[in-house]
Amino acid sequence: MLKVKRYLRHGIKPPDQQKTKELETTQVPLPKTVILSLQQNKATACRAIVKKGETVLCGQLIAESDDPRQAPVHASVSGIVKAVGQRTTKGGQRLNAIEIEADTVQESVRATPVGQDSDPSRWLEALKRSGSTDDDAFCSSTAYKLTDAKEKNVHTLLVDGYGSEPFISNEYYEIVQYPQLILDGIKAVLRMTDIQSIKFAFPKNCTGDFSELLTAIADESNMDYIPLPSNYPQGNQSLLIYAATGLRVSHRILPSSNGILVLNVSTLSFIAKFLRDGLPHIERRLTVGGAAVAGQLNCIAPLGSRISDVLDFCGGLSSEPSQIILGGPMTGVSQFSLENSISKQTKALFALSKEEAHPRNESACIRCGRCVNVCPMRLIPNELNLSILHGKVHEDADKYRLQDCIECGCCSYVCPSSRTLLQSFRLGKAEIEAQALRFGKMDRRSTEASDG
Amino acid sequence: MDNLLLTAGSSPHIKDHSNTRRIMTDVIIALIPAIFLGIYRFGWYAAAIILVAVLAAVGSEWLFAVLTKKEHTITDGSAVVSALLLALTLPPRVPLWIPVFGSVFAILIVKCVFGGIGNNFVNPALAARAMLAASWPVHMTTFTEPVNSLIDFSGRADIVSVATPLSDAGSLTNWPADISGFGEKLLGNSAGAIGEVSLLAIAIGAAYLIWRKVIRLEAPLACLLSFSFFAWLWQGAPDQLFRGNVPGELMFGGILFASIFMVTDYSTTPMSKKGQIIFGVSVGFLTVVIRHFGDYPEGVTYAILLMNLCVPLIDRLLVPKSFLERRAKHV
Repeated sequence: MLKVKRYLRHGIKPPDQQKTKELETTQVPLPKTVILSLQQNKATACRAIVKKGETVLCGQLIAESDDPRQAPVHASVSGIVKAVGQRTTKGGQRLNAIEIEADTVQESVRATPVGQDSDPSRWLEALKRSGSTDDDAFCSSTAYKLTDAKEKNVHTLLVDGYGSEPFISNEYYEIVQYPQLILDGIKAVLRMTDIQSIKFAFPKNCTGDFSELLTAIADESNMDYIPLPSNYPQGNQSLLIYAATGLRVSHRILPSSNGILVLNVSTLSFIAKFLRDGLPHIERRLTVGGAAVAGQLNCIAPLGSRISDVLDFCGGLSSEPSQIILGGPMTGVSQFSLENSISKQTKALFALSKEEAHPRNESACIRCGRCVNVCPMRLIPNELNLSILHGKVHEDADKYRLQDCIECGCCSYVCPSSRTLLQSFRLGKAEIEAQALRFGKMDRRSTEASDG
Repeated sequence: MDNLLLTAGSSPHIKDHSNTRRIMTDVIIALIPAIFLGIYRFGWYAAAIILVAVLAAVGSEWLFAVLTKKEHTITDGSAVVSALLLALTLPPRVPLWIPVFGSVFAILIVKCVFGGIGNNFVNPALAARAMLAASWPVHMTTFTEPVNSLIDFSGRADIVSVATPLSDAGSLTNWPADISGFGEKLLGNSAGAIGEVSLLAIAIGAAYLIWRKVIRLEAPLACLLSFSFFAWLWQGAPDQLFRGNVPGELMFGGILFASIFMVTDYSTTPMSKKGQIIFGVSVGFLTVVIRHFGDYPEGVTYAILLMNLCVPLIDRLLVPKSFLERRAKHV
């Protein structure tokens, strides 16, 4: 066990952190239709390689992208392609998606497992076609992360068993249910990269439940585990890396240039499962929570299931919700329609009751300094907030390090005046991005002019 | 589930239960022991001073909202807190128009005109106190011995007036050799301002505020330590270096009350921990300087006001390095 002194001393401790932990993991039944988005992250979107009316099998490749960061998409049910076109996504944008109507037979493609002991370059090729994405902030393709790690001679693998939010218990279940798969996954990653040390980060209060995996880790000479206190947002990539290695790596980049590869436990167990069975990434572990849900549970849902399908399975809504959120209450995206679907980056589904998320009126900042005390990035949220609201973001952004904000939401969570601090930071970042784009265009135009 | 009205907003979607009114209520609760002992020591007349101060403050807040056609912020309780802080630093027998005038000045001029709660650049209660002391020095420096009776409602003519111990340096020199006064001072049985006389009441209030996490220990502690150090260093004459009467200096006047309730004021003190410590140390130093080199007996008011003005400077100088900017100590 690694004694950690660099854990997060700031941040917050939200209440009822482990509410969903006592519950079993269940399988959400097949929905009638699924909507599979062709874009999981900012990289170039996938192209659909099936047409409307075509019959697809469960697990069949239906869209792929030239960008290695974008994982391909597989049909999560067998049936008929009802539409290939734009659908509203969780963030409100219209993006290309494939809609499949499930049939009653549910036939799967014949999976050809690569085998656990196969040649690393062979299984990496196979993994590229598995559609696997990691649960990091970028939702980047697992195969891309591994290739990147190999190229940059990464020496440390940081296994994220902590989870991004204390309300989400996906990592907890993955570790309790599949300790062996996670170990196999780690070993598979070790075989194909030059990684020498493995660090396994997990919440301190789960030490008892994880005993199986922890003893296995303790037996290995190159593995170490790091119990971390349950502060939010300790699970953020930057803070995990800092706790494990003492390096301060920006959350905006993959840490491979610093010699670190961060992989979620569920990604590792997927790798092991994929090598064994050859089944692509077509389902997603979800934490369903919030006081407005009749049955809070942990489930595995086919990708592309609609929110209403999952909620129906959980017994519907027990009271009128104030907000339905894809993702956790701290970082998730609130939804305006139950027709939106579960995608690869969806970690949780929360229906918050009016008591949990009642809208409050913003009042004047009283300079109490609570936001400054909780900010894990050591920023001054209230000054930054006023600067953005006064339209001075371009002058002050560098001074107050706006780009270092990890958007954890701690400042807004503690603000007694209910100021929408994080929302204003998003606005500020968007303004800076927009200006950069404008200047970029102007630069290009001026160079074009000089060329002419 | 078809006709759901969903709220869509920016994350985080949950919040803790803190709010401005709750914080102000906590400050008011913390002041209750001081209020109670003040009323017990100086009679119902002290209660009348506190009451009119509060009424005048709330009234001014309401008046300003009406005049400027803005939503009033009476319910957040900040006007009540300002009024209580002002009233508790007043001598117990001032004429009743003094707290009224002070409250109106504190709320209308110091707070509302500069943008209301959170935007006042100096502490409203202390600014009002300074204004009153400059305008009516006789009223503001006439302290009386406690009457120790709740039913006493006599005017100030019947009461034995004494000068505040601070302007009477002789009474300090016997301390701490003469320890008999300590218990009395603890329970506020001495001449002084209404809320400042009882050390125990102030300590209870401080403990409550720290327990409720409304204030942090750093600033008051820095202030008291620095005050003690400089008071010990300088007793008033060059041949008395390092012989200062620290307990005596600490116990008289408003330094204790101010270090708990005014050095920790949100709007008028620095945001960062480092800034708060600088603020506290400077207040302690300036108080000693003003007490010994100035004509005013009560230095802490001016020390805090002076430092309030430096807060934007301190905040600007101490923009902390962000997590990513800091260098790793050991990799």
